[in-house]
Amino acid sequence: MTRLIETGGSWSGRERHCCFLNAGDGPFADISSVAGLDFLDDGRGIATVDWDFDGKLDLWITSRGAPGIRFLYNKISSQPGYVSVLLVGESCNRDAIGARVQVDLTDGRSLTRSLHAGDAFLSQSSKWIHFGLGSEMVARLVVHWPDGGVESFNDVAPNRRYEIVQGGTLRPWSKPSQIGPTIGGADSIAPVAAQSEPASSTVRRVLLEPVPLPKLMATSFTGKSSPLAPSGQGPHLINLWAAWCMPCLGELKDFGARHSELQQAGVTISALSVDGLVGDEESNPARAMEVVQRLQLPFSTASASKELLDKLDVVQDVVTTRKTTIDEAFSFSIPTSFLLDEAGRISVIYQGAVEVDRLLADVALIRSRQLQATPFAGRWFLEPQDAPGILARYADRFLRRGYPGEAERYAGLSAALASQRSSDMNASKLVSAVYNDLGNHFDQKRDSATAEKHYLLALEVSPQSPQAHNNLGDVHYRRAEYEPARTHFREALRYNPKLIQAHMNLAAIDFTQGKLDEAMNGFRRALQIDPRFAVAHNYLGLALAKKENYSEAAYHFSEALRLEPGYSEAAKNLRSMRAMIERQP
Amino acid sequence: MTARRWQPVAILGIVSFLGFVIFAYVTLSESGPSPSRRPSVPQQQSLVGMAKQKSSAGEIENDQVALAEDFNESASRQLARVQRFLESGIDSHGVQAQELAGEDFTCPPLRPEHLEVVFGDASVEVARFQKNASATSNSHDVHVGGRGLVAALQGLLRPFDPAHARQVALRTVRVELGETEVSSEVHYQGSGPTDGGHLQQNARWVCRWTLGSPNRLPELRSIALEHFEEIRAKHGKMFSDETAQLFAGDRAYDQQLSRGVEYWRRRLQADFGVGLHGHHGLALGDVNGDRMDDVYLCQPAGLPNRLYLRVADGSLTEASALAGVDWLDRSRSALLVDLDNDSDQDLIIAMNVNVMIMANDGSGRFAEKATYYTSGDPTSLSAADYDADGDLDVYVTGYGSGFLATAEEDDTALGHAIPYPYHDANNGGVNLLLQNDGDWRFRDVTEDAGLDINNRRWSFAASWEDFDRDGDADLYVANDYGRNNLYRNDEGRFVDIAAEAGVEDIAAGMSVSWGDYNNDGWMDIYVGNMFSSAGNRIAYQRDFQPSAADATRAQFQRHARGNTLFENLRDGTFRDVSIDAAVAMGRWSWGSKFADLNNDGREDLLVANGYVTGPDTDDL
Repeated sequence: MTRLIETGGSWSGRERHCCFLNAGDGPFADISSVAGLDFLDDGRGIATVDWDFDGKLDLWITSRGAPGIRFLYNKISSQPGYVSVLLVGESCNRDAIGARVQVDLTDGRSLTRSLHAGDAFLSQSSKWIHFGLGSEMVARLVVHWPDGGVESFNDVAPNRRYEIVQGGTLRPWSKPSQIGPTIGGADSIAPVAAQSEPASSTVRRVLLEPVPLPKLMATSFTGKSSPLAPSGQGPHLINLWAAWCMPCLGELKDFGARHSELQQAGVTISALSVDGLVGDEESNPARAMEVVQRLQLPFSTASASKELLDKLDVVQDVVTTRKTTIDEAFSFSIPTSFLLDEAGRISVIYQGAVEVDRLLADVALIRSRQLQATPFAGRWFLEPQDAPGILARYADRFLRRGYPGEAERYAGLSAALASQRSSDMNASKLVSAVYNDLGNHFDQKRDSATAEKHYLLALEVSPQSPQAHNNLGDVHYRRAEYEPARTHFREALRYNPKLIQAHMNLAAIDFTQGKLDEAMNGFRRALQIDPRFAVAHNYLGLALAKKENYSEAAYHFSEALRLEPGYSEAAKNLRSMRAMIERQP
Repeated sequence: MTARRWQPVAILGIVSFLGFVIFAYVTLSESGPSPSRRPSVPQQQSLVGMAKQKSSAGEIENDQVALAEDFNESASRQLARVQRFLESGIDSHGVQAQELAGEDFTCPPLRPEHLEVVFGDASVEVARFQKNASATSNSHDVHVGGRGLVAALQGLLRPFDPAHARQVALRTVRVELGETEVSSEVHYQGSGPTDGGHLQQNARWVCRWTLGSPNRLPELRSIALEHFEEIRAKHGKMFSDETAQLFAGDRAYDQQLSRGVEYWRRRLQADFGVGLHGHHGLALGDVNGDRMDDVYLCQPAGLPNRLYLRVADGSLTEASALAGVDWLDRSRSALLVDLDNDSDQDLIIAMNVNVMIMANDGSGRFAEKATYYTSGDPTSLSAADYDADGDLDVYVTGYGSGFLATAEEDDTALGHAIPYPYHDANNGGVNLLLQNDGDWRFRDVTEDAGLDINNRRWSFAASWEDFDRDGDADLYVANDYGRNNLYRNDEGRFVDIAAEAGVEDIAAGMSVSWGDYNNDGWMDIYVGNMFSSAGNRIAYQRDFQPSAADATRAQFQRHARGNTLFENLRDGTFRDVSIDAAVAMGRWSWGSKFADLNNDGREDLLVANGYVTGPDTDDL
């Protein structure tokens, strides 16, 4: 579901708010539309208040959608009367929260309202207690104070507001005289339309903390490949564009036209064409070169590579989502630009065309160290700052995309930073996991020495990583170094007693060393953790078979087969077991 | 005050299964077992995946459910033609609508001739069709065939002003597959201008359809009218949206508040934690002592909360920085209450991992007084003097640790709990009762007060009320994924009596409001839940969760039923009157509340709803 929503889908979205009219005896009537409340905003909080003191309840509604807040003005006929009271507690709490007020009407009906602080969802309404009177008068008003006191008032007039002070004081309260015509005006004013973003709007994201640039290679239009290194002189803008992309060309022209200003501000621009890589398949670097020549761009231009896009995509990915499991590539939108600070670290990402004024402003903010990741001023109680964690996510993402070198580099940066700052456990765990995965990466390439080095790094960062212990144990195991292997498998189980792999691996050593009873115990422990683990059944069967307990062995082979019908080894084992059983006297 | 780190980010790396190599030498006989290397162990994540799926729309696991959903898709395409015609009234759309009814199609007039006025005042009139009266209808009233369908639809449109388009919605909420035909329940809602006013029609149709086939969409065989109601707002809609006027010229509104969560998610680095859900509420209260309510708006992380003071001339002044309350931390809810009984309104805010308490100096400036950290993922706040010592105590509801903030991520990888079991989860975040001990000292008395019972539910909201009128404040808590709590206050100790009082309301509870809807002097309860058309269609299929006990199936069905109105029976128990009162269908409800909107002395109901609206229009 989350994936659905993230990719632009809706879930019970486009729903209209509801309003039910209490029609007396019998069902309520759904008046959502005639009430004028049927907005499509993904509404959340609701609070009621007679905002303009006209004797009718108005509404504030907060929303997930846009606008994030609405004020809805009640403009029904003012013919039905009302009375409204504000309570002041003396012996009870000053706000008189918990008070119950009863209004007896002249027609014999009695209305009861109580005072709450916090109800509905995430909301608090006005403390003025509001009574609609219909066309009746008030015979009596009774306050049940939260401390048990009861006070009764007979001289309550309709269409008035009163302040009632505990102890028997009822005093009329008048609204300030100059309540203006600001609200409640003509009908003709259209409601605030649900806003959607214009497709062309540029998204500017300032990074929480600047991030080192991955190693990027660009190819000149003559085919020469060279590293894209920040000049170190000043801020640097890496711009991705394509010959077929009109906003890109507009942006490049702007950069060209105001190049002297940009130069003065010390900004270097590298405009990298993605022709042939993204979007229009017909396009190619040659067309990009034509554009460069035609526009006579005065700054550095070149072609991006698949690898460069991939790596910048990783950067975007980490910035835009905290998810850790997405590793499929998503398409770049063009133009996109990355603004680097003087140290060559990515500071701002722009999706869409960047206005030169915006760029110059951001450059000035970088130079004066005033670039803020929040769009408005305000105060933090707990400021988010998790650079080690963020760097660890870069490492993780790079590895998943097939860049172990970058993964190694960012993992190192994360670990170094984590040791400087009092970082929380989670960043270390993630870095450790990345080193562990790097170990696996090299192990798959049959480079067990490098794999071992990374498992050790994983344990250095997070000494209690069950995975790293297990995998390091496995390296030893395959070198027939059974004792160190055992040690690591046991450590793995110490930190995660349910790590089924470590149980299996320990049992495998026992099995290898002919300790069949211990091995069987190990396989059984694995099956206690996951009774549906076919592999454990198969090997338990093997151990039993070795102990000539053929019928029980046959049972476990058949279990393995039942759980995984395509498990050919188990099938073979089961056949041979049946043969053995038949051969028995 | 020092800035502290708060953002936990962690995954465990892929557990590689590298064991098992050296079995090759094991031989028992020539044709003996031949163990070999096996690929990696299936991860435990599969279990988690199942839990996740459940938490969306139940398990779609069998043919019956799939068939019903397929049918719904085709029937929806057919109903879309009806909708287009009802919206436009254009003849060519009528011709298209005509095609979806077979020759033998029949239906009564969709807008019955005789409607009974059940409510009327200066602004609004409600007229209804009483179903039992239809027994007397004779054959003249039956429309036949495709043309008959169009005639019936035209009849429905008659009271509207033909010069304007209407807004029409048709939703299928129940599908029953038969051998030769399908029966479905469809909710119709249409609204639009009429002579000088605004008209709304609500109806419930039972539609019978042919089965249809891959090449042929289902055809309508008949429509039966179960319910019809027409509401006329005589002078136009009751409320108008004055947001733009009220905030005219305000920079913070233009640049910040007028935008939605999606806009900001695209502009702030994800690590701020601008969640997907947009759970940000508000507090009304008089901040500067002029007896007029001001408004404090809670905002996502990275955007400052905003305080607007109501100025006497009716305009607003943004004062969050001046008042010292422009917090950038994610804030879900706030309360403006007098915590020290000095006659000004102090401020409590439910932030990311803490509850912040601030004192008002009397002029509308606030100072930090106390902070309570909680692992409970705070959602709503509700205050009352539970121990009757003359000051207000605060109840803080908690959802699931880190769950909402990061539901867009891989929760299990982050080590977050997933609600389990889905229909009765008690593994969420803790709720807290903070007792006011004076001098800005607040103490967590959750356990001492007995509120630690059933306290790990996924709580969204709570509200205090002396429902049994014994003089002390009792507490109702609305919980997602299962049972709600009603804690009865027995001299400062609480007992959860939700079950015996009949108010467990096993569903996806989002909100709670107390109000005396029947004016008998006793406070009734309205609980906002989830109503899901898809959930209803699926949970009523016979094969939905065939292995589950009937009781469990009933709970799933109940989960998607919608909102609940509990009538206080004055003996400590309540009765569920939601269906009779016709207030269940509040869609995917969040805030829901009693309020007398038309000043007739009766509490009406408001529901703000909608879960997540994305750019795509293909909704469930």
